[in-house]
Amino acid sequence: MRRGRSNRVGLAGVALAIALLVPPLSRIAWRMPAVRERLGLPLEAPDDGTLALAESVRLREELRRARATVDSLTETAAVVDLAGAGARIAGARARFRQLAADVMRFEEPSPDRDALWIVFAAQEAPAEPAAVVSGDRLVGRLVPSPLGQRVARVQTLRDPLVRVRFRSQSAIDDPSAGGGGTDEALGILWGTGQVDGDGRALLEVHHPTATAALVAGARIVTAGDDGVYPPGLLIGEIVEPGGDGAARADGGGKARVRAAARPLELARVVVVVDRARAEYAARNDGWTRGGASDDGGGR
Amino acid sequence: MTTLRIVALALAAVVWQTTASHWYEVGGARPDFVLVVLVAIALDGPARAGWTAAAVAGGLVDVLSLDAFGAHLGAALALVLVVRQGVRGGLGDDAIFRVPLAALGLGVAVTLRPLLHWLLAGERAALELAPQVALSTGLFALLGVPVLGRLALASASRARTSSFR
Repeated sequence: MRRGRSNRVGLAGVALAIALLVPPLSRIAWRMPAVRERLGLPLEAPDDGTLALAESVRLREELRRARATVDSLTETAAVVDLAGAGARIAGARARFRQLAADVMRFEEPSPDRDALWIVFAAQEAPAEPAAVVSGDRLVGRLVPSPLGQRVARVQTLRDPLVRVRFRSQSAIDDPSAGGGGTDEALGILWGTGQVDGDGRALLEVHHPTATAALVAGARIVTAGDDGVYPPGLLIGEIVEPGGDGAARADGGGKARVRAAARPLELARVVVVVDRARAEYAARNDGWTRGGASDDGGGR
Repeated sequence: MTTLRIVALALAAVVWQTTASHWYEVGGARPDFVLVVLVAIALDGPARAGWTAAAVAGGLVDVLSLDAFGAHLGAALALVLVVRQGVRGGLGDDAIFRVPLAALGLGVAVTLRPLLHWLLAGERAALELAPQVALSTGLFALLGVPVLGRLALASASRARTSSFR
């Protein structure tokens, strides 16, 4: 009897070891170029932060020069952009403050939520709400962490409670497509917690002002009027245009957006703090006043 | 000493959850390894160790998580409550009833956590992924509980033996 039970435990132990080892090994193998070539799958694009050393040194130098240019441009833009509310800002300064941070190999313990842990190398984490980007792609928003002042969390777009106000890129770029007109698609993206095969978040479009602009492949960017996310950051693209009419009335047929960023692959991110948040909140009737009332998520 | 060893087991599960759980992600949901360990401890370990492990591991996960403080703690304690009630009723020794008892405990914990977050933080409960979390956690529990339960039993009996000496 006892022998039978210990056999069962041994068998369960072997099965557990297999269950624990197979998913990581298969995922590692799935990414190997040799395996992908043999299976006839397309090779994955290099991820952020995994460039060869020589290439990264060259790019770092280019980045330094580009950053200096961007700083001078944003300085100028701030003077123009905040002309209305600028009286409350002391002097002319860049509207967005950018802080680099490294991604820690530490995960959100909730099984159905998603956050990155980041550590700031040279300064403390900002206390105010801030967007987190990789290149021009939105990764998520900053959430304070209990583990010290240099460590913060990022509620990513993969989190089911994330909310972002968006607009469709085509409506902005192409006046004939309705930029600033009646077809301009604005709305709120809701996180679903679901991801595609590459680990990119799938988000749902809620409260769209127009459905005509939400065609498959349309680029979706941040609207920038919530005081948390700067305008024009790439969120992703429409993958399912969604239904309208009866389907929408039933609560189904919502358009879906696939995010551009892959948070699990990131090694470094940039935190963008909007210095004009208070002014924007006041201008927008205070709907974001007192914290992120519409962008959901962490504590 | 038994309680310390068992709490260490639960803390090891928290470390695993916060460092390696992304390898087991399916469609955005990951298994909850902390609940797997807690259900094994509640089934086969001493009662006091079960409650302590649930309080320590649940509290620690609450500190590290985006969920409101108390959501994981409440879910972990509810799991131990449900499973210990079954064990007290004699279901823990019966091979037929152990699996449904563990499944019930896990189901309660997985459902309760988003609801507690909703109550405590005022945000809507994200229950969309609850079935996937329950399924993947249940799979690992099916394989892990016999092994982890044996570990919990071994800790308890080793401590008992050393105290007799």
